[in-house]
Amino acid sequence: MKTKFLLLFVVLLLAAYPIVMGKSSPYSVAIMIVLGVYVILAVSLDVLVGFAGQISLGHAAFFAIGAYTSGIFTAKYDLPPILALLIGQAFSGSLAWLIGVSVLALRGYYLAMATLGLSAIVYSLIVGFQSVTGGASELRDIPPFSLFGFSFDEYVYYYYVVWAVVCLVVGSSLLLVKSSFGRTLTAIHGDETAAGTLGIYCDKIKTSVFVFASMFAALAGSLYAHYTSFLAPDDFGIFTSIHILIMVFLGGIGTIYGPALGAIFLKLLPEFTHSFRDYELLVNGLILITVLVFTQKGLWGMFLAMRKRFMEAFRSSGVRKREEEMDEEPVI
Amino acid sequence: MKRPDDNILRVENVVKSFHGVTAVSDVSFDVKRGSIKAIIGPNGAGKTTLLNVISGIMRPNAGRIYFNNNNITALPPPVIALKGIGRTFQLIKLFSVNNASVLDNVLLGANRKLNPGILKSLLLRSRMNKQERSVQDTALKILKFVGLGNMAHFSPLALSFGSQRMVELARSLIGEPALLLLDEPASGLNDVEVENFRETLLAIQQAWGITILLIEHNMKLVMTVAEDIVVVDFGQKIAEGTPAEIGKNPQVIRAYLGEDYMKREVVG
Amino acid sequence: MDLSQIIQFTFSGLTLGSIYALMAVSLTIVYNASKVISFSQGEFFVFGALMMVTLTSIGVAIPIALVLSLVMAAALGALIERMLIKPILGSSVGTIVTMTIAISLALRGSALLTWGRSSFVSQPFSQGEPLRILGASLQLQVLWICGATGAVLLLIWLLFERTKVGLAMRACSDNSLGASLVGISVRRVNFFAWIFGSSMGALAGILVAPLYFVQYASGVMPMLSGFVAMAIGGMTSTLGAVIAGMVLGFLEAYGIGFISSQFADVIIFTVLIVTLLVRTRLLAGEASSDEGGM
Repeated sequence: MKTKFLLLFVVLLLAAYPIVMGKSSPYSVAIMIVLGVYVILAVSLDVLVGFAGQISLGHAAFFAIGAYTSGIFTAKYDLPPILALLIGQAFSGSLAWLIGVSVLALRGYYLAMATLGLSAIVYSLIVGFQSVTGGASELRDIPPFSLFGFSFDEYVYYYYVVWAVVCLVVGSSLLLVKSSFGRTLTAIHGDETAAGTLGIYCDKIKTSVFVFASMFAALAGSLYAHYTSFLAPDDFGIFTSIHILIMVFLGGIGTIYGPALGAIFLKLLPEFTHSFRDYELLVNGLILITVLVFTQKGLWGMFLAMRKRFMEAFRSSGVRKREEEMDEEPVI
Repeated sequence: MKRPDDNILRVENVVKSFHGVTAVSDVSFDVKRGSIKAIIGPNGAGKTTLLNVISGIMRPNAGRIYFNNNNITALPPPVIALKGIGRTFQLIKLFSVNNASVLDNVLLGANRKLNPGILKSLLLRSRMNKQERSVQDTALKILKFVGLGNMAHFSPLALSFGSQRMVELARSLIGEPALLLLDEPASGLNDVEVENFRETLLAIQQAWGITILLIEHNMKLVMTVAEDIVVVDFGQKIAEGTPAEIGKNPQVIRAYLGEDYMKREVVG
Repeated sequence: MDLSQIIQFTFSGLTLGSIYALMAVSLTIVYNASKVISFSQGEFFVFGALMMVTLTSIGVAIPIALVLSLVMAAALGALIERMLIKPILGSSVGTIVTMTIAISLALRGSALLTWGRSSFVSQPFSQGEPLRILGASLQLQVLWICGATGAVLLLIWLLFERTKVGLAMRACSDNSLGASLVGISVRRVNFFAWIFGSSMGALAGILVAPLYFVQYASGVMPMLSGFVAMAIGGMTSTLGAVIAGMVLGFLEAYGIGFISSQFADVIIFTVLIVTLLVRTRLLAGEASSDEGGM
C-alpha cells in the first residue's frame, strides 16, 4: 500500500522532471535518458540473477544486439526505427532462446565463465565485421527515434519515450516476480533438484527468463542507439556486462528496486567526480567490496533499514509521550 | 473403488550403477494402492538411489518402473511429479532464498494446479489471482493439518528440524499425489516428534488414500506403520514381507536388525 | 609461408603458451583449494609486470626486482584472501564471483592511479641481440620465459608430490570435509593457494613485461585465456592446465598468422563454452550436486 504511493510519487517526479529542467539544462535531461537505459539493463538482469539465480556476465551482448540492429537498419537501410527495434527484439529473443537451451545447463562459476565468453564473442564479432558495424570506429548517423512520422529529436521528447519503456520494464518485472511464476523462480534458485520433483520444468523456465531479460536488454540497446546516434564497440564489451552486474549487487540483488537504484548511483557518480575520473574504477571496486562484506543487501537494503528505524522512532515517540504523562500522575 | 490387488507402483529389475559401484542390483517389488510400504536396510544399501530412480532424478541402467500401469522409466522428474508422485528428501530441501516463507514453500508444491508461465503471469492476471487465492487457502489448511498453521509466514530457517520436515511433507501433499515417496522422514526427530509424525502419516493415508513408500531406519516407526516391508542390502533385495515376517527373517536379522533386536522388540 | 615464419610463430607460441600455462595453473590452484574461480587473477599479471617496470627503472637489479615483485604480489594475494575472500566463502556463488570482480576493479583502479594509462615495457633480463635461428629471430627473453616457466612448474610438481603442504592441498581439493576431519586446516590451504596463485599470475606478467607493452587494463585477456586453458585442461588438473595453456598459446600464435585476431577470439571463446558444456554433460545423469546459486 505505502509502496504504491511511493511509486506513484516517483512516477510523477519523473514526469515533471524534463518540464522543470528541460529549458535550463538539456544536459540533465540527456543524463536521465542514459540512466533510464541502464535501469532497464539492471532491472532485467536482476530478474535473471537475483530471482532465477542464474549468474550472467553476458547481458551486454544483448544490449549490443539491440543497439546494433537498430543502428544498422536505420542508418544503413533507412528502415523506420520502430521496425528496426522489432527486428532487434525478434533477433535477440531467438538468439537468447538458442543460447538459453544450451548454456543454462551450466551452473555457478561455469555459467559465469560461459556468459563472460558470450560477451567477448559478441564484442569480437562487432569489431570483426567492420564493414557492417563500423567496427572499432563507430557506426554513425543513426537517426533519432521516430514513431508515426513524429521524430523524437529533442531530448525532452525522447525522455518520455525512454522512461515510458522503463516503467514498462520495471512494472512487468515486478508483476512477474511477485506472481506464482516468480515463486517458481525462487524454487529454481534454491534447489533445482527439489524444484523438479515439484513438477517445475527448470530448463524451460530458466530459458524463458533468459529470453525475457535478454529482450529487455536489447530494447535498452535500441533506445540507446537512437539517443547517442553513434555506436562504439567499447560500450558493449565484457566491462559493460560486469558494470551492469555490479549495479545489481550494489543496489541490492533480488529486489528490482535495488538494481534500479544501483544503476542510477553508478551512472550518476561520474557526473559528480569529473575531475577524479581516474578514481572511478577504484571507487567502484571499493564501494562494491564494502557492500558485499557488510550488508549484501545493497543500497536498497540500507534504505529499507533506515525507513524501518524512522518508522519505529515515529511510532515510539507516541508511546513515550503517554508514558511521560503517566509519570506525572500523582501516585496514591 | 479400491481393488485389493491393484499395484500403483511396479519396480522391475532395476539396476543402477555409477562411479564403478553398483548401487542397485536387480531390485523388484510392487506397492499396493493405498498401502504403506517401507524400504529398510543398512546405510549405503541403495535405498535413496531407488527413490531417485523412481522419481526420475536418476536413469536406471536397466529395469523398468510402472506407475498406474504407465511406464515412467527415465522420464524427467517434473513429468513424473505431475503424474502424481511426490517426494521428500533425506537432507531437507526447503527454499529459503529470496525471503521465501513456509507458506511459499508449500505453495510451490501446488504446481500441478497452477503451472504458471511468463505470458500467463503477465497477461491473464485475474485468472491467475483467483487460482492463487484458492491454492493459498488449501496451503494454509494443510499447514494447520500438520500443526504449523501459525508458522506460515516465517522463514523455514527459523523452524526446528522436525517442523521443517513437516513443511516438506505439507509441500508434497498439496499437489495431491497418488504416491508419496519419503526418504528417512524420521531421521533427526526425537521420540515425541516421531510419534507425531506417525499419527500424521496414518491420518494422511486415511483421509486421502495416498499410497506411501518410505525409507526409514527408525524400526519402531516402520514396524508400527508399514503394512509391507522390503529389505535391501548391498543394492539387492534380500527380503520382502509383513513386519512380522521380516522381524523373524534370519537373513534380515543378520544383515541389519541385529540379534538383540529379536530379544528387545518382539512384534506380532 | 616459409620455414622462418613457422619458426617465428613457434617462438611466439612458446611465449604465449608459457604465459597461458602460468595463468591457468594459478587459476587452477585457487580453484582446487577453495572451489573459487577468481575473476581477479589478471590484475596480478599487471601488478607483476608494472612493478618490475617501476623497480628496474629506479635502478633495482633485475633479480632483486623480480623477487621483490613476487613477494609483494604474494603479500597482496594473502591480504585479499584473509580480508575479503575468507569472510564470504559460505555465500552464494554469485556473491563470490562479484567479490572477485570487485577486487579486480579495485586492483585495476589502483593500477590506473599508480601508473596512469600509458603502456610500459621493462628491461629484458639479459642484454643481447636476439638469436637468429633459421631465418627467425629469437629474443633472449623467450628463453628466460620458457626456462622460468619450466622451473616453476617443476617446483609445483615437487610441492604437490613431495611436501606435506602439497599433500594437504591435494587432499583439500579432493574432499575438503574429509581433509578437515583428518586435521588439515582448510583455511591454511586456501591461504597458501591464494599466495601461490597470485605469485604465479604476477610471474607471468614479470616474464612477459620485456616483450609486450603492458598497461593497467592488460590483465583481462591473459586471464580469459587462462579460463579457457583451465576449462580445457579439466578445471582441477594442474598438468591439464599446463598442456592446455601451451596448446592454446601455439594455436593463437599460428592462428593469428592466418585469421584476424577478432575471429581467433571468437573461436577461442566458443571453445571455452563448448568445453564447459561438454564437461557438465559428462557429469550429468548422476545425483545432481547443486553447484548453482546456493
